[in-house]
Amino acid sequence: MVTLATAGELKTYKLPNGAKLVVNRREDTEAVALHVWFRVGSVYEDYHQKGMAHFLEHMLFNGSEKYPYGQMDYIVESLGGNLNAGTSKEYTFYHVTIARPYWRQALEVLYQLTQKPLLLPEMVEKEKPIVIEELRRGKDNPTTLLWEEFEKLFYKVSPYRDPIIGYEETIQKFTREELLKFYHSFYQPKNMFLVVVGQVEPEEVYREVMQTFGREVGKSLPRVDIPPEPEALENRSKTIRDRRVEKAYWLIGWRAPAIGTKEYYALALLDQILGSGRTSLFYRELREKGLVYGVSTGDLGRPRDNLFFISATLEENRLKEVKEKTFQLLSSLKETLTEEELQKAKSRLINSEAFSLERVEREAFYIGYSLAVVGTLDYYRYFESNVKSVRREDVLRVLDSYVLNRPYAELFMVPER
Amino acid sequence: MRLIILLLLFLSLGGAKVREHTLENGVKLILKETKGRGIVSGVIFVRSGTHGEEKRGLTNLTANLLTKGTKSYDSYRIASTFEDYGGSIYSSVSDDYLEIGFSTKVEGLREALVVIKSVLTEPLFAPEDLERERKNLLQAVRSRRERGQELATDALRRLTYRGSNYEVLPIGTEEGLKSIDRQDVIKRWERILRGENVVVSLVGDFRTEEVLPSLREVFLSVPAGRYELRPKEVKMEQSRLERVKRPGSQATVLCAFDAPPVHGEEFFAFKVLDALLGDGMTSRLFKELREKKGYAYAVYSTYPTRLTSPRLIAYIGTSPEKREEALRDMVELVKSAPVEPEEVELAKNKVVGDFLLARQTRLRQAWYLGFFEVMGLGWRTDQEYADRVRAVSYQQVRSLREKYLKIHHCVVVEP
Repeated sequence: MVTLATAGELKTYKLPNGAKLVVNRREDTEAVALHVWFRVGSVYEDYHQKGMAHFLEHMLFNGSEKYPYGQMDYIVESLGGNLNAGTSKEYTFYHVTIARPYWRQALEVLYQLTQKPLLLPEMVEKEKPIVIEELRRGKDNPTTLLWEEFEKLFYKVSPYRDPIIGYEETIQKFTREELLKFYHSFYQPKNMFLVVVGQVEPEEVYREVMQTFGREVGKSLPRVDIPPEPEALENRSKTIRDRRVEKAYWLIGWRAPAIGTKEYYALALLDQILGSGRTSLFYRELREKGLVYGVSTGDLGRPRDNLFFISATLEENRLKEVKEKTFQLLSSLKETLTEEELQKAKSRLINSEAFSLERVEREAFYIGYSLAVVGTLDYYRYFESNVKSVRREDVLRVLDSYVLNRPYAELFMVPER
Repeated sequence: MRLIILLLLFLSLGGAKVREHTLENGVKLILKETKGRGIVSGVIFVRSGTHGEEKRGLTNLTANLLTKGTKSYDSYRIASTFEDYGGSIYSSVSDDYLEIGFSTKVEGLREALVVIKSVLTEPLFAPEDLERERKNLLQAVRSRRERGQELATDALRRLTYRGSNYEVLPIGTEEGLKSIDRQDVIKRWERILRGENVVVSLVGDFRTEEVLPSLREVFLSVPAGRYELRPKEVKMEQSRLERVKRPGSQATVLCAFDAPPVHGEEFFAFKVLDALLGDGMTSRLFKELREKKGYAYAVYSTYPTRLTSPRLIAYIGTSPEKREEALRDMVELVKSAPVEPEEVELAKNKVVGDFLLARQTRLRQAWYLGFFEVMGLGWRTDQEYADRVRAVSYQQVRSLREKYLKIHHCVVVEP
């Protein structure tokens, strides 16, 4: 056992097989969150595998060596817990939130679920229509379509351009053999991050983990080349018309610093200043002045080829005016951003964490994301001090070198009349 | 498989005591101390909702404007009082109540309460804000057509709550919103802001004796008296089906079924029946319609807590070509799937588990305490909830099965 570091109640372990475990002991809650993260998502797929990471996530619920199909859900729900999972472009995670006395049973379920799945061929066929229903359900929502189209416009080479769920054509062709191969490549200790948050003894958790996940053998990981997105040379703009929408949607994005880099914290503050909450610049100048129905900003938290976006809903005939106003607000920030405003943005960003971390599953997510996506627990651990150290000129430099006068991609979705 | 007996009973949420104070003007304060990182959340409920609303959307528009400016604070100052501490303030309206909720740090609470007093007693309802918010809400009403599920919800409300205020969502109608003027807003707020209609719940890392004086000062400013709600019961008499056209890649099926009133002995047993039918991966609807039949990705049921016209609502989103079978099978399952003793035990544990997990944040804890009180069930319901669910018997659930879920009102949104 190697204890890497401790920060307050945070205990970090590296298992002999290569898996990592982080336990955060908390006294203020009766709930325990248990997460298992794997560094694999849709960008790890090749073309004919599109949708496989997500499909596999579904398949893991279809029975394990110890627990037949349906029993894992039964155990967790009969203990009053929630069992669920999620797949993104970079990660897949499985999680349980449950009352304190039952964390061991939950851990055992997560172990069976992620390390001992049966992946039976008849279950592969059973799952296909369900996943296709999920895909169509997504397509039925104009906002999902908007984002899919936007990423397709923004990324020309990178696999970020494909949707997580894949395509009906690829999903229909998945076989047990392909799924097994994909599974064995990524669902193993060297690619695994375990997180437990709640009123638990870290040493007890470690012992329990050693009896389960610790027994698996770590293998070397396959090399996956994720093609980087080349620098865009000019702006890209696209308009789509949709019979279902009643207002115009505008989505514009720029390449942004990767999550966890020094510049990223300046970006987080820029985002806070521009679009977070009712005190933000865009809310005041666009929403409260009646130019838009809604406006938000954000970044996708990616470890490579990250993207910063502004999104607004508005009347179609206002598009030009709103775009001009937005650019004007961005470029005048150099003059308008005061030191006091920056300090307020910092305290808002830092303090809001105290509220979001009230839920154990939120804290477990944050830790899991740091380990599996950012690649270091330092992101979680030193977020506050990193934000505090950002200076006004850092924010302005990020604005200047990533947004102002840089190529962007923008998508309009407007009503088809 | 043997069921594990839940120990959840022994777990309370931090074991904190809840204290109640009723002010001279009728305002009820519910306070709960917690230990943590120095944060506090509160919700001010005003029993009202859309009851007695003539112009549909008026209460919601009023709530929207409350945080947009007062005689002493502009919109920015109201928001920054909370956001500067990493918190927030919101206002919204449901069928039976209006709510103003907030979170802040304990050191910001005094300042927050001063702003809240201003929001309650001297809102500006400025004409230019009214116009802007009206425009936004009109757009939001139209935008409900963008999503199949929202369109289905609106159609189902018209079908199943015809003639009562529940017929229209609190957001209102285009016609209603267009006809509202500033006097309507002022009058509506005067009418509903009455001491006996107000419930304030506060949960956080404070000491009651330290906050009580300022709470008294702020909430005594609410005028005494009562705004009487006259909920109109809409009974389900015969099964009905309505179809709505919308282009898209999915069909949405949404149904309402007859259910027991929430203010009675049957409430908890029916919560269990609802969970058995449509909550989670072990539920009947999920197992049969998703896992066995492959109709859908999402299928579930809910039993919303409303003052009157109780319903169980069931949803399934499916491919257009499967919609008839999905509709038929969902209605059939809700009406007559057999109920086994073991399923009842499992459902009870789900309800208790969901209850605990839904109360992790101070804001949710405050919300539930105030919610039960404002709905006339009493805040103690929140404390007794787990016990009362555990006390539900198989026989009770079975007899509810016999008594309710006989009539359906369904809406199919299809391309």
